[in-house]
Amino acid sequence: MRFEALGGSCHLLGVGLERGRLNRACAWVLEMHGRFSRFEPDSELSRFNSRAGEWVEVSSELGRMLHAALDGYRLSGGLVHAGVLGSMLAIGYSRPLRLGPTKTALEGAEPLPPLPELLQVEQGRARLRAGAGIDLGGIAKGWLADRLADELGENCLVNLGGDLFARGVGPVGDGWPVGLGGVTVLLSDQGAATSGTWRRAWAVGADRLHHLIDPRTGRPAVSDLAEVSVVATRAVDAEVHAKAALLLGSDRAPAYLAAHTHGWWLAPQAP
Amino acid sequence: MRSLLLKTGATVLTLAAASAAAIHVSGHVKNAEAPLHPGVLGAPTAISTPARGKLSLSPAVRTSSVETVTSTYAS
Repeated sequence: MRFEALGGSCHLLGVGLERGRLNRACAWVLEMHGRFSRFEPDSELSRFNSRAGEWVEVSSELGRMLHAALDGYRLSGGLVHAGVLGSMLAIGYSRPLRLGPTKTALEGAEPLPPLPELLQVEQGRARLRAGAGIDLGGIAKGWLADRLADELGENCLVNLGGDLFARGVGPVGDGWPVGLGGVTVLLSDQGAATSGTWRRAWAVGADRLHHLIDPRTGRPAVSDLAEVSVVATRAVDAEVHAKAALLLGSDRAPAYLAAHTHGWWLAPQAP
Repeated sequence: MRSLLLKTGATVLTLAAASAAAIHVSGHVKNAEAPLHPGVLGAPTAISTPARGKLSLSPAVRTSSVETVTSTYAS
C-alpha cells in the first residue's frame, strides 16, 4: 500500500497481511502525521512548542518520541538535535516546501545549546526551555516506522518517507529487497534511512539553503557529502546515524558508521 | 643379522610414514581461494557501484540482484 504522509511517500508491505490491516496501519500513520507535524497549528507538537517554558502534559507517543530525540542526541554526540525549530524558521522553512520558503532571517543564527538543557521529559509530561522549539523531523519517521513494524506482523516492511524497517524474512525467505545507494540489499529485522542536502533545498540570492541544520552553527550544514544512507538495528537509529555521518563529512563518517551501523552509502557533493 | 633387521625395520617404518603422510595430504588439498585469516565479524567491505558514491556493508547485510520492493531515500 502506498500513500503520502510525513512529508513524503509511504509504503507498507506485508506477507500474509489482510488489506484491512494495511488500511488501519495507513490510518494510524495519517493520524500520527496530524498529531506530530509542526506545520499543523493544532497538532500536539505545535501546542507543546507554543507552551515552551512550562510543564506540559504529553501523550505516550509524544513522550516516547521526545525520549527518542534525546537518545538520538546522545547517540550522535550532539549532532542530531531536535531543537532546531528556530533555525528552520530562520531559513524560511516555516511551511511545507511545496508552498515555497518564507523570508529568511539568518543573521541571528548561532550554535544551539545542548538538547538536554532545552528539553526535559518525565512520565506523562515534558518541558521546553522558553524560546526553544522542537522539530521531530526524521526522528518521528524512524520511530513511527519501528513502532508500526512491531505491530503490523512478523513479516512486513514499513517505509515512512524513506525511513524504513524491514521485519522478518521477506517475501521469499532471504530478506526484504530494498534499494540503497543504487544497489539492492536484503534486510531482515533491520532499519534503513537516508539523509541528504540536495532535496528540500532552495536558493536565496547567492546562498543555497537546505533543511539539514548543523547544531554547531545553527545554520544549514556544510558538508562534502550530499547524501548518506545507512542500515542499522532500527529505523530511528539509521536516521540518527545517517544525519550524523552527513554532518561529519567524508573523512570522519566511515569510522563513525563502522562503529554504529551495519552498512552505509556515502555520496559526495557534485563537483 | 640383527643390524640388518634393524635397518630394514627402520626403512620400512620410514616408507610407511611417508606413504601415510602422502595419502593424507592428497586427501586434504589446500583451497587456493581460502582466506589466510578468518574474516573479522562486522568489518565493512568496500564495494564499487555503478553510480557515484561508495557502499560499505558488514556481513549482516547482503546485496542481491532481485528487484527492490521499496527504497530508502532522502526526503
